Amino acid sequence: MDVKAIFYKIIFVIFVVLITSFFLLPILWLVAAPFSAQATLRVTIPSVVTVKNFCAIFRNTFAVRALFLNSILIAGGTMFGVTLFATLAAYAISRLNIRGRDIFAYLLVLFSSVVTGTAAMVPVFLLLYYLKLIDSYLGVIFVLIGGLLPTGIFLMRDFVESLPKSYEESALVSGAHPWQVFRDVAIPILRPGMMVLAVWAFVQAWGDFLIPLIVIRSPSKMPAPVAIYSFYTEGGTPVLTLISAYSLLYAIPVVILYLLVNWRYGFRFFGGIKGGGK
Amino acid sequence: MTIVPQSFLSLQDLTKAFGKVIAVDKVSLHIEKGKFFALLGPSGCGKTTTLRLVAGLEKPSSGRIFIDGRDVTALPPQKRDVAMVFQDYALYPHMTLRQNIGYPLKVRGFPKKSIATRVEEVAEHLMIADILDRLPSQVSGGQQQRAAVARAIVHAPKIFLFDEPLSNLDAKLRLEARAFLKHLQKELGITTVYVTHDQAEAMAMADEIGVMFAGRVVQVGSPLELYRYPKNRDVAAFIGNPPMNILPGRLEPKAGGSQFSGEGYTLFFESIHVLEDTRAYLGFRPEQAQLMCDLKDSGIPAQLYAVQPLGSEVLITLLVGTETVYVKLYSESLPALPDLVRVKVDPSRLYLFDSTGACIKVPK
Repeated sequence: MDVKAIFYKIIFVIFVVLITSFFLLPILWLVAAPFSAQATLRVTIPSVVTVKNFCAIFRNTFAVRALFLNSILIAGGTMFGVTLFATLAAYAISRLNIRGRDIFAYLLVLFSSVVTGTAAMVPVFLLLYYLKLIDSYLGVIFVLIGGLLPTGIFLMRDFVESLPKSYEESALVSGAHPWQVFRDVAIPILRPGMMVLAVWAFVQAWGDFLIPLIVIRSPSKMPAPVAIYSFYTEGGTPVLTLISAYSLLYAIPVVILYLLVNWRYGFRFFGGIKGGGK
Repeated sequence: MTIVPQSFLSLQDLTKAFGKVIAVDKVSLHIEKGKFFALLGPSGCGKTTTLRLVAGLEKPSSGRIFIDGRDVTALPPQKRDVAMVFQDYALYPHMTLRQNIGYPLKVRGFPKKSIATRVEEVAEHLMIADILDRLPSQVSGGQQQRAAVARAIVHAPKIFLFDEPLSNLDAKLRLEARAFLKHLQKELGITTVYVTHDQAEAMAMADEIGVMFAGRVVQVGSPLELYRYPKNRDVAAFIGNPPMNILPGRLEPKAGGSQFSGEGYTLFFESIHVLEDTRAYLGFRPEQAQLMCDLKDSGIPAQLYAVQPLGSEVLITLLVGTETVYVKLYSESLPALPDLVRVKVDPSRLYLFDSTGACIKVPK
């Protein structure tokens, strides 16, 4: 190896180390701080490892309920809804021969990314008010589904497009009804795509703060991102020991879900039939 | 008023247009029960679309389809009681071969036990019984093909549809599969429509062939009929291995007949009468021509291009003007040929096509 190559290699390694540490530091903090009795915003390896912070959290029934019931209900409901509707819609858009369906699909995503978020908050709030869905899980779930669906459909459409039509046609000629074809042939082959979509939707809903903050009124229905504010002192200072511990607990379900799907299906954000689908 | 046709599978003036493109143009076919019918044509001629119309996967723009005396034109595919083997086999990748083969029975609501028995029986017959529990990705191309055929015959359909089922197999397996499919079809006696672009496949397997060009069925007949009496130049140039040699020239009236003049040769036809000097085409089969080394001999002057020994025969490529001509000699040894030769064909073996391509003379 000549000098130049070694030089570039060293530069490359330094660059990678810098980037990695930048992204790794918060994670290190998240892992270290919860076990420390006096956590600060610095990453320090605790001299005495303690689980007192977790005990304190589990004594806070409001926070526990927020994380293990409200958040799961909201994220789970959104995941289910987005996966179901996005799959059905993507299948329909991909399989029906409607004039201009590609433009329709693109407009869908374009508009949703323009109109989404804070700009839509007032109309969304009014809509939910008239539907009497303020302060209900369903209200949050509906808004989240609505927000995620366009991107979900777009993501799912890619998987459906890569599914050869001859599978479905063969099933049709074999004597299957269209709904049997969808259930027996399309769904099983699309399952990896649906799983990716489900995890994505779950993570989006799990981390969403704004919509539950606006829609949910009663503390007993608040999900974790909102409930985390109960770990601020009355003066507004964050109690870092509790917040870090709660954050760690808050991160675990998503990590587990990701690992589970990755192990079972492998993460792919594009379509394609991997032989056997195993 | 509709007249219910006598034949088992009947297509009446079937037309399918995709936008402005007419893929299938007034196709009428009548296929008898138990026959092996091949739909032959170059790619893009509409043969696969015709097959898909029969299967119900496409809706015709006009025309009707009858299966066993029943008008199925408006029926969805699942109610037509046909079976189709796709070019890519379309074996469901998430199901084992056993589940794949049993699927047509499952959707028909057969009890589990009888499905299992029937699948075993069919698999036994097609010699794939020992790999039933594998996934399609875990078996060879030939086995996948057999599994696809097994899935098609498992519910004893009225009609069997094949869409180029052998094109994904290598040459050796293809020959094997040809014999296997033909044997199976004869044994089961299921009316079959088989789409292919390979004339050798159609000739070897079919009882009857329909030749399609540009959406139209140009000629229907037995393999030998098509070989001997092609209706036009397109059919003649498509059938045979290699296909018929076609040479352009002019045909003019002469006392007692007509004279064909091509690149450096003239031929007299007694029985043919034309009114005026016209464009025409001469045709002859590679296997019916002879080569003369002596240039004083009469015949079509040609230049030697390549000599290919094929074992039992020798295929010789020649140039007549700018046209390529094939001659097949049944000889195991390589003939010593000069650069310039004469191609001689028994006049009774010659074909003539008029300016529109229609055949005006066939061998006696």
